[in-house]
Amino acid sequence: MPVEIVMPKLGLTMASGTIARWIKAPGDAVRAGEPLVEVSTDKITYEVESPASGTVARANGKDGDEFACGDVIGYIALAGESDIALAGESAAPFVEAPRESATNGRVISSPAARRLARELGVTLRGVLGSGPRGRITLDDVRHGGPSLTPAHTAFPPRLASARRAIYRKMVEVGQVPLAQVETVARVDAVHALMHRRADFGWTAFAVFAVGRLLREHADLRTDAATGAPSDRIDVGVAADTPHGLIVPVVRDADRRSLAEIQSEIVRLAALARDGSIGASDIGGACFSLSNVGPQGVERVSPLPDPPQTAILGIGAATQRPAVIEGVVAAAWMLTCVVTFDHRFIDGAPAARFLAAFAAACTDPGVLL
Amino acid sequence: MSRTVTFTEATLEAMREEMRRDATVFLMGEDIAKQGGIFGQFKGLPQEFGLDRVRDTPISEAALVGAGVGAALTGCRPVVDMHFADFITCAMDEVVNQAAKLRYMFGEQCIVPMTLRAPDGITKSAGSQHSQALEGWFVHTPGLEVVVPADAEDAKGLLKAAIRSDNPTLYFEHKALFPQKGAVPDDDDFLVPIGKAKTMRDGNDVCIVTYGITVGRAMEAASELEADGIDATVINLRTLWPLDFDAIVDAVARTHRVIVAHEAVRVGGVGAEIAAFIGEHCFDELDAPVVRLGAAHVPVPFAPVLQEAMYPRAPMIADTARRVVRREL
Repeated sequence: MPVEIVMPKLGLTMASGTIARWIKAPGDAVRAGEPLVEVSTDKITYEVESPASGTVARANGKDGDEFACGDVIGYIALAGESDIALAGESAAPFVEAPRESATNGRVISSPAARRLARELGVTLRGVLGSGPRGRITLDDVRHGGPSLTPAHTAFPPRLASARRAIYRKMVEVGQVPLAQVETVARVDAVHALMHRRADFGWTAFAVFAVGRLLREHADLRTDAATGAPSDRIDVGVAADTPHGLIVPVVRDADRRSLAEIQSEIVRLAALARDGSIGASDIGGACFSLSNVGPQGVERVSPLPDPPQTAILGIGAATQRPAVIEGVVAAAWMLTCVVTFDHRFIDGAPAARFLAAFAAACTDPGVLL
Repeated sequence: MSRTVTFTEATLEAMREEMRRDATVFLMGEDIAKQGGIFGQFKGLPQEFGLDRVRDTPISEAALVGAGVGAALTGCRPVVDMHFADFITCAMDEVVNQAAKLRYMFGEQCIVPMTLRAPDGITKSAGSQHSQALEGWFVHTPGLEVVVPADAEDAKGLLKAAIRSDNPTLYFEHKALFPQKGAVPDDDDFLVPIGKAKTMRDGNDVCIVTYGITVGRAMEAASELEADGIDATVINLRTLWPLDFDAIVDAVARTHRVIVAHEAVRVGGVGAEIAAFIGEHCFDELDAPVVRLGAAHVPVPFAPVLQEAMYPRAPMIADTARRVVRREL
């Protein structure tokens, strides 16, 4: 019996993947474990290895097609199995058992659910239906949460495929009621420390501080998918790469030393730059950081990365006029902005978090 | 201000008021003057209006309706009682080929402002020939208006509106409703407009579209559902033709889940027309298939147990609504 090639699920929040490129074509011989097809997800490209040795019997999707995780994207025919029977699609093994809401490949949904999905610009693929035979109903679309992925019909026709993930994210963020708090922190102490030691940067310091502060400021790590704070404090770090924006994640940022965080960021940045970052280093963060300091810009107004509900943006620390004990003097200053999803987080907790972060930048001792 | 009266009294008030108001209104039927009608629905009328205007007739429905059509053509507003709706079959030519057609065939040179009162529906073991609900036939026939009161208010307002209508109007009054009490407005000119439905109850979970005696059953089901946290809309159609399509569209758009219920046989019934209309015009609003509830496709049994099992009553409506809301249908 032929072996299914399925769209892998590479992360907790991954709902679907896109076929970037078939490495093997139908008819090609392939050994188990050999690269078979390249799939791209939210942020990464991943090589799916052949689940068996045999011949690629059928490729269900062509390059650029999107599949829900778990969907069959092709088959490997084992030795002795006829390719012709496979091509004819009449062979019994190819009748898939109903999965989720699909019956014989058709997604069963109520007309009202389909209309709502059209209005929201989302696809029903992968949504679990609560009705008979898995029929997707209005409520399933309304409360479908992260299992909904915007339909690719919503992409402008000439959009580069590498931008699809960010395009989709931004459409999603566009529906979120966002608010911001902003402050300028005096950072002479951290600046001096950074110069003296030269073994950590602002990104590492911010992740270090944020990780510790998020323990207490639980609101800021609310997961929009559950409505409750996430248990682990994994912090995403927006990285500029030749492949566009990538957000690698520093796991357990609250329990790592500044030095560990610094080396982790260096490791992740290198992987992100050459496009070899793996699924374990992407996704699942509860909060993110965007630092435009390296670009020499003083202020950034970042957008959270759903289902995260908040993000901190910092700019370049620069010397600016400050009033110190009634006298204007030069001081190292850092502009900090928190953007948050007001459905889950109120202004006061966001402001308290930002004030605590600014205080930590002024006197890092408070973190110890 | 309103008063509480029985359904029977409500129809009597309507008759009295319309007969006082308009000298061309008169009544014909079997056993209506001497006996006062089998449900007492004509009691006292001959005393007030005389035997010229409240006429007992021989047992010939064809002659009776034929005379009504003739009187209507010559300027009267006859109210003809069918005794039991089932007997209307004897006068089908007069209803379908004469009353329904003449205004159209003579290019509006004549009108047929006749009201046919037809007591119908299932009561205690009245048997197959005295228990039917036949409104669907007349909704299907162009040229007729069909009204079905659900309570005393409807009984009075719809009967008065039917008498004042210039079109032949069938007035189906359920036999089991006659003794039921209800509020009626204190207004000689109170009319229930033909072609307008009434929302009896507003809820967002499911909508029960119904008429006649089944409105009360649906309301009973709705209170039962309320205890389960299910909020139902109940639409009393009041008129089956012209049908209030706007009210149906509005209710479907709010609830997305619809049950159409009536006591008439489900197959080929008015519910089928409504369900098909919803399918055609409200397709994108539907979150579940439209469910039709109606009597089984069998002659109404005499045996009480069988009779009570064959048409939608409150428990069946409530149970169906629960299944629709819980995504089982």
